[in-house]
Amino acid sequence: MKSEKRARSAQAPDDIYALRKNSQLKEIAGRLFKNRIAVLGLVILTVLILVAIFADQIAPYGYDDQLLSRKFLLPCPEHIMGTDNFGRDIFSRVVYGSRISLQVGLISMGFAIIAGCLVGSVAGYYSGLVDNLIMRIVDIMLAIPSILLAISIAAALGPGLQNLMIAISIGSVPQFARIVRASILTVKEQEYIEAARAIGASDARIIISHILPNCIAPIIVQATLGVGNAILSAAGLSFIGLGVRPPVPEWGTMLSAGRQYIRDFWPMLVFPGLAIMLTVFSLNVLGDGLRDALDPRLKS
Amino acid sequence: MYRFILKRLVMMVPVLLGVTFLIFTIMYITPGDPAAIILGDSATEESKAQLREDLGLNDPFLVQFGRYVMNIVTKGDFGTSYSNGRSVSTEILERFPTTALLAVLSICVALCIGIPMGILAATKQNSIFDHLATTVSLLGISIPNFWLGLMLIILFAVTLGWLPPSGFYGPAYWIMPALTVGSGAAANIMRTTRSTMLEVIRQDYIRCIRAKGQTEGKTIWGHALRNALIPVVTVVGIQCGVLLGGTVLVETVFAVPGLGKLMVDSIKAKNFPMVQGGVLFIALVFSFINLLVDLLYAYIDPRIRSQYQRKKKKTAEKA
Repeated sequence: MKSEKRARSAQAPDDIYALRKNSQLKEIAGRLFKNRIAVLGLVILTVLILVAIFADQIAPYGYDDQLLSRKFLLPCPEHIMGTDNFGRDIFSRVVYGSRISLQVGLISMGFAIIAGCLVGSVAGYYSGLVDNLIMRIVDIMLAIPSILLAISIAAALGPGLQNLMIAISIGSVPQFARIVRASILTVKEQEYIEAARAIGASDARIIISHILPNCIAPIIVQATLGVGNAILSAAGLSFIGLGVRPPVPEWGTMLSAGRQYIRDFWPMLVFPGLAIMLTVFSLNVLGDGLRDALDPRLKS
Repeated sequence: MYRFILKRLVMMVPVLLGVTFLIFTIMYITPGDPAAIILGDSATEESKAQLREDLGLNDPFLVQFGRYVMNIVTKGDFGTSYSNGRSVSTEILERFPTTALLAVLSICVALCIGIPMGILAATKQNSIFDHLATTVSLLGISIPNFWLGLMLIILFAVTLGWLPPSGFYGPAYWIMPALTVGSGAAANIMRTTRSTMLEVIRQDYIRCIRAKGQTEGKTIWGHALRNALIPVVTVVGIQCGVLLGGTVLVETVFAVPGLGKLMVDSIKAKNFPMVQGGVLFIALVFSFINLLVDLLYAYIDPRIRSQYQRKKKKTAEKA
């Protein structure tokens, strides 16, 4: 009996932490779900992700199925968004394009977050010379408008999906580094960090297990908005010929191809653009909603 | 104040040097032989080797970088275009006024739409207008500006025939590109103005002004707006950089003969000195805009101005 009690009391703090964490998550989710426009963003994004995953089942045609006798068809029951200059079904290409755009957005932001967290946490945690050196490099990168930096890198690497993602991630690293550093500077002076140091935790453990989880809110918000920006940048780079090459149905590449038919055939320009707008809109409203939900000042 | 400007100018030097190093390195590691790009595929190996020697491309990286920086600092020379052999600086200076005009017009559009809409949305919080303005601003930041440009061309040039679809020869040609570039910035400015105005109009001094019987117009425009302007100016500064980047794509859509289109054409032609020079020039302009924004803070907010003066007094007292 006594040993059971002892075991229960030893377990208690863990349970309390788990409960507190759970209730915190519930509270944040509750605040997020109260925000109608953020919920709309979440729904749109979920639908888009499902469309990207089940593109093979949803798209009525392959993204490169050409039928020249059916080119330049206006929207009709068989081709709800019409067909392009090669007789390809625009709806199918837009559906497959969601895979490319979400892939570019998520992977490039994933790399940017990892690199930004690494650079930002080293700068924020160690301060002094290391911080100065890293932040001056970040300042240098921020002195170039991010789309121009991405254009320069993409021009150097050449066109292609992989190069596009590298260019966008490098262009986004400085923003994440800045945000992570600023958050770390506020967290690292807390007593629990001092306690972790006192029990002999290594710097890496302190940063990964104690500091970063407490700085996660602004990183999540920036990441959500960043995926939207990455999709916009990818579309822009593809539009000027630095991104994905045809016939891959990237939305920016589709717009670039449709540009020469601007006077005669609008569906090639309207639908891929609407898809970009809808995706970025959903990410932006979700990002805004998350910012509000994670802001402790707005708890009441 | 002058000391602050001087300090900021001095601080810009290492940043610009770093930007030059970064862009130079990116272009240096780009695959492709400049001699082959200039002379074409039909050139002999000897002539290519001779050109490489003449251009100093066989020199070590740091020697080439040092020479590039020295040429910029001493002669304002950003190199020579691979396409036509003309000076990059000359081409940039020829094209920049067009881009600058487009950027200025766009920021005017953004300010004229963003600030009044932000103020109205804040003063009529939770009204239909507020919801409408907030949704439109969210759409504004989600629309790719080059696609908005294409849609404006379809509507106003192709369908209605009201505006010319491309070029930049006069006011009629300026409307669509300026609207396209300025729309995203307008949305951001509107969002910032709305949120800062919401904070300011709840403050005690605004309640006090209202209690003393001041008109609503004077209260908002004369007292609240001035105090809400600092974050707005910050966003305008940031948006200037975004605008300069945005012009690259929009100039391509509307065939505007500016720096952005020159850069896109140069990328396609693998004319790397031009891309390098263009990016550096824009980074330089962006840095100066940031300095101007910092100075504007002092102009708008007397508290910041007095901080500079206090620092000056303290140093004088110490001396």
